[in-house]
Amino acid sequence: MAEYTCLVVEDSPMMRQLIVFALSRLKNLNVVEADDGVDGLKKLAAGRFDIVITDINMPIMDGLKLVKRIRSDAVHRDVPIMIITTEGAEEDRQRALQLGANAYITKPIQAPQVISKVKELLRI
Amino acid sequence: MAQNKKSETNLKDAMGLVAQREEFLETFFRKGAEFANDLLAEVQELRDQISELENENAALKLQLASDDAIRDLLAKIEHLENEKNSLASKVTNVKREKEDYLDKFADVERELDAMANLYVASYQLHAAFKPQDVLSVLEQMLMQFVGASSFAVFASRPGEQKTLEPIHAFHCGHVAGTSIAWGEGLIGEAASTQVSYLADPAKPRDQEEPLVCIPMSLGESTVGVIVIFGLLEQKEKFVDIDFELFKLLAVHSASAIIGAGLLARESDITAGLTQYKSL
Repeated sequence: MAEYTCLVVEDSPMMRQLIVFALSRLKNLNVVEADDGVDGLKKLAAGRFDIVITDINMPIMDGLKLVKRIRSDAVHRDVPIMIITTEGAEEDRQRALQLGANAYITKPIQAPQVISKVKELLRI
Repeated sequence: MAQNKKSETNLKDAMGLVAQREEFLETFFRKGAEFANDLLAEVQELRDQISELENENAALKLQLASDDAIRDLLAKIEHLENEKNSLASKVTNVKREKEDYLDKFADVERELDAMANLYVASYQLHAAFKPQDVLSVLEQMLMQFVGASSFAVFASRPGEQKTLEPIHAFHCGHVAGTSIAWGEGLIGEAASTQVSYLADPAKPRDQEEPLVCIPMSLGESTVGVIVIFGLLEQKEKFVDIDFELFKLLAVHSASAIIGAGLLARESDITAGLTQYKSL
């Protein structure tokens, strides 16, 4: 039975599938998927999550707004957030971290890198 | 008077004899005492020597025992040294094996990662039902999987002069309205030869010059060319998985677009499948 639940917020079905595929290597992790920030917030409201992985550039609500909303949420404000994005500029990284993201990975991703970061954030 | 003199002489002789006897006895006893003393001293000396020898013997015995213990200890030390060397050698072997396993594990991880990328790319490419969706998948694949920042898809336009025209562009406005003759330049050459072109991203280059040209092949025909003009800031070089993805794109993208196009024209998919059954 999964001990941890992860929310993956990513508008690209391909990328989402790749992230979920990478996370499937962690046997004690249950993954819930969301298409964009708003969908992510809905899924967050419906359950309890131990970690959130989100893209930045998404329709309806982008990843940075989602980070802000999570940090002001009573239930999930302390949940670790990992950003996976194509935005590789240092100022983008700093902005995301200042808003409350705990980790920032740029695309293209490598599964071991994602798994290692998730383990680090969940302390497993 | 003579008799008196004689008896006087006798007395003197007797007294002399007595004196001699006493002297003899005195000498005898003195010598006897001296001899006894000498004997006693000698006995004492011998006793001391015996005691000394006994002590020496005990010390030698002790030393012998100690030597045996040392010999045992030395043998044990040698045995332990051998054991230590053997263990050190085993540890070295185990470390080497562990490193080999870690290398193999890293290789397997990389392979798995590559397989996952290829699986997802292939799955998404063939799961798209409309040509526009296939182009969208191509866009996602090039941007998110390869790390391309600007790219275009050129389609071949048949005619007297076969040309290539852009049907999809991402952050490369300079390709809009262009028409490339078959075999012309890097893009036209990739189409005519069906051989991919890959430049080194580290080398300085004009931004409008292609970095990668991947011919979209369908058997012997080339239906288009995928051209990458630039990479994301964090993408400094191509890695193994990129080359695998380029190969996949070369083989699968054309059939995916054409398949999606044919499917889009088919009003009833089930009827279409029945038709194919009779082929």
